[in-house]
Amino acid sequence: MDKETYRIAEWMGKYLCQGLSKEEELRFEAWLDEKAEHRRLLEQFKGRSAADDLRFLAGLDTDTAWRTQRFRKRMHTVRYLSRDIRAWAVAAIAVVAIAVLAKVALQRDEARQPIAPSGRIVLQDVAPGKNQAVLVLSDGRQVELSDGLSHTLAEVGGTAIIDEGSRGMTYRASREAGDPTVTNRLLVPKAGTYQLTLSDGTRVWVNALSELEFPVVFGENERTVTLKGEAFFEVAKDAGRPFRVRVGETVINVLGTRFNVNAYAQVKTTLLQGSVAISNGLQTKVLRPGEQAVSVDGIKVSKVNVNRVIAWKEGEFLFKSDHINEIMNEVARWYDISVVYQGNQPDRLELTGSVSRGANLSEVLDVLSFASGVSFSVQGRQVTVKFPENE
Amino acid sequence: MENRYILSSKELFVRYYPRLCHFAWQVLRNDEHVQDVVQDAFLAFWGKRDTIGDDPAAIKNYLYTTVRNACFNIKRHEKAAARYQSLNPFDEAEEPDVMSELFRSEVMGAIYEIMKEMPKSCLEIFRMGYLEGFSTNEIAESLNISVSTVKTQKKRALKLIKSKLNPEFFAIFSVFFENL
Repeated sequence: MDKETYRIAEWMGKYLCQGLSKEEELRFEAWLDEKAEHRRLLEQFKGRSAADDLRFLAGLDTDTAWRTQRFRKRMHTVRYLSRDIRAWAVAAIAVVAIAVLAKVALQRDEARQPIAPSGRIVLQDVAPGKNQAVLVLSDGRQVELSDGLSHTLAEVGGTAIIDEGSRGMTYRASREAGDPTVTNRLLVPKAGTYQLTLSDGTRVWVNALSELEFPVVFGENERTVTLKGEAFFEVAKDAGRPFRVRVGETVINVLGTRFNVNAYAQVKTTLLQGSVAISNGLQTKVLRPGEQAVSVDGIKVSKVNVNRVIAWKEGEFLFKSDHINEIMNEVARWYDISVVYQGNQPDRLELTGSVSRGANLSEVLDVLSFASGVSFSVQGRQVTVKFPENE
Repeated sequence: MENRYILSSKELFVRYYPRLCHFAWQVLRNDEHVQDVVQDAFLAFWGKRDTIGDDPAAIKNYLYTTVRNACFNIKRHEKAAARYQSLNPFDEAEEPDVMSELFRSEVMGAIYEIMKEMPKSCLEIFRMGYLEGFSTNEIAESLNISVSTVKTQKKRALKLIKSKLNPEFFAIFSVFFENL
């Protein structure tokens, strides 16, 4: 099954609707004459009904299969760990069903620290975040949004806003273009996330502690939204009306594409598909898929692990050599907790691992302490991170 | 290069899992090992992802080939067992070409993805009309709606498929559903 196969599939399709070019037709005929088998293949496409096929597909449970796959994927990782870590890893899986790979480089001590089960003291567990947000309408009214709620709201310009519960909400415009100064604001608190579809069909996933402002109906010439915090965009194609995301001083110019913007500290724009141009008023850089632009002093572009960047949207924490402070900031936003550090913080303490965002806080801390040797204590909504003593 | 489409692990899985299962189901001709075979193929894929790259054709190629090989292994075992039991001579007509199965899975997988996106009312009628083979009158009667509503929804479903399916696939699709 080489790449040729996919080309022949295309020819065959075109042949069936008489869409082959002269040259393709010749090559397709030649292929058909090559073997009797090839002609039989074409005949097969004409006779059978598709009902059984689609019934089989409809019977599959892809979500459950993905959960199984994710679990097995983690079990799989364990095999590649060194032997003494493996023993602990197996123990950890038995408890939390999660495996992690740890990379710990402590101050002045390059040798690997022994990984011991932590002295985590949990007085009370904390539940994970969920789909929730507050919508501020153009007249200042506020509407609370969460799973399972469903209502239709009238907005200026005859626009209906339909809250579809766990699927977020959708803006439906009566006309294609409207007054872009009539805007709504979506406020997503700590421990929240929310998704919405804008009037042009663009989909946006908004992460915790973030704010998105957007016109109820976009104007004729451009589509501009304003973001604080983090969001993932799937922009609907509309060559006549460029899509822009404003994040402080940074402007991201888009045609039709998928990208993530993380602006909790610096503005980090990560592109998955298409192309975007980032400018800060002085400088403009164009991104290719798989690249990330960081706006600090100037705009720096580098290759990144895309899965890591969009893990939040997939309901996962995924850490790849990330600094403990960054990790704890992300955890704090999702569990609505505050974090205190105790003891001597090593210069470099980087962790690698993954855990579902649907897990309780204690599970996440178990994974982190297993991976790092750091211990945690939880009191109310405050987590204390205790670094191991330097010997 | 500009149109490269990088999918996350989950997106990749969700997109290819159904059609790979369908492919294994066609080759094996039963349900028993289908899901295991596909789960294993994905596990092998994650380990090799860096060497395979982001090219969709390369990814598909790897996944389909891995599933095909696993299916053949299973069939070989089954054949060996059958031969042992019945003393039938071993059928040397080895692995058949699975290209038609592959095409079919690709087309069906694409149609299935569109079905998942259909509005509920539309999907119900599409299902009854095109999958269960009910006539327009029968659907109208059993859902207690007018014949013209059924016709409208059928057209809507078809339009949706036409707008989203690759033109090459739509031609094949039309062949399956001659009563469209």
